[in-house]
Amino acid sequence: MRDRPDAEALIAECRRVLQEELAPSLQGEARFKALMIANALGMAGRELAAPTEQADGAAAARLAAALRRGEGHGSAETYAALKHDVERRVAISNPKALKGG
Amino acid sequence: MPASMDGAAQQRLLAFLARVTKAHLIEIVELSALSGGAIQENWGLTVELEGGTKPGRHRWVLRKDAASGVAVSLGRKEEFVLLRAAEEAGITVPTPLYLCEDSSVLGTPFYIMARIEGVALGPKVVKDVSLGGDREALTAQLGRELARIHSIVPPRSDLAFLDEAEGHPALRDIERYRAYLDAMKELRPALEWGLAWCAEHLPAQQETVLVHQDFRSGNFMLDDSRLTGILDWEFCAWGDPMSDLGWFCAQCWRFGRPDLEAGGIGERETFYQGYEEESGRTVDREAVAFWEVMAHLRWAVIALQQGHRHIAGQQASLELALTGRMAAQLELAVLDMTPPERWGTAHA
Repeated sequence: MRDRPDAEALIAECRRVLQEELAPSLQGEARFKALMIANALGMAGRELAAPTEQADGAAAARLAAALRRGEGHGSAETYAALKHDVERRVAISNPKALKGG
Repeated sequence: MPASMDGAAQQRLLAFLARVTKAHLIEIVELSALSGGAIQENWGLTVELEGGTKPGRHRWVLRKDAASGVAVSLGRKEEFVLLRAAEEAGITVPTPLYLCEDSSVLGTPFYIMARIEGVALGPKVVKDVSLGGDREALTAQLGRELARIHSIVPPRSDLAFLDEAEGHPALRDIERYRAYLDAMKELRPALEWGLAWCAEHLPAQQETVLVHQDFRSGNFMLDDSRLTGILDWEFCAWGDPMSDLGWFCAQCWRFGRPDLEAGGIGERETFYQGYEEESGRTVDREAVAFWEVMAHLRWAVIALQQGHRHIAGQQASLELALTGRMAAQLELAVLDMTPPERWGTAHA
């Protein structure tokens, strides 16, 4: 059990202050950097909040190697698995890119 | 990069300028850092010359390798020679003026070119439609500019330093990207899927021409009324002309205007028309679509490499870190372009 506000809440609040209170008064390089930080905090917050899916590195390695060897090409089943994994990561890194697709 | 150049370096620069311009009096009115990265630095250089071959006031850009530059792209000398070839071919570029290969002047080789004005930043160029004049005319002109780049063909003794593909240029790229992924120990099944699709759907090989390899929104400059220059020539190689069209049209370079398929600037067909009129070559639409998949794969690999520069501690940078995290959305784009139903038929 974590004390509150927890990591996610703290990150969300940092992001809000940065975006709503600091960034508007900044210009040029400083503003650009503030928005980059807000973007990074958003990503970190979403990553913490995401349901922990057992990241199976060994399975990814096997799949990558199999595709490299020429196996599973064009397979609907492989495709669905790839898509599921990539969409899960894009939902963290850039959820806007999901709506567009 | 340093914001100013020390006095001794400025004195050596003055001596170099005196030698190449034959001016008897030179004043450096302005010398300030414009922009730069780990690979090269750009300096704004304004001079007042008396006598010699170019009397008067000139606004130039001095472009040099960074002191710590790692040679992953072409060097400044090669870039200078390419700019000269580009200008001869009628491409809108900043005129290259003087090359200094002598590292004792500024520590690394450098060259001086005319300073062009305007905005290059991709998101701004796409969003601010007041830049660059009429967008339809601009789109067609970009097609013509690219066609002129592709009018430069081997063999060229002045461009002997350029890489030439053995076999199919796409196959060479695919092997390269796999090697880069392996070197980073990146396990990216979605990229492997895309690379495999590309390897199985190679388009018919075209003639070999000069390819720019980074011709896209963000790498040309627009002022209030026109295109002022095509930039970033450091990735040039001999290759397949359709690869540059694919890179330009790829969805990842449309900066928030996915509907404008020619770089977020205009209609794809307008761009093709300009290209076809100037080159006399027919755009192979299928091949461009193939190269758009390759474009996303290439950008994904580069994004991962940039992220790794941060991860490995080579260069702490939030920008590099965030670029690394762009790989996921590029993987998604690759998957969207290569669903199972697009595997059945081999490319004509």
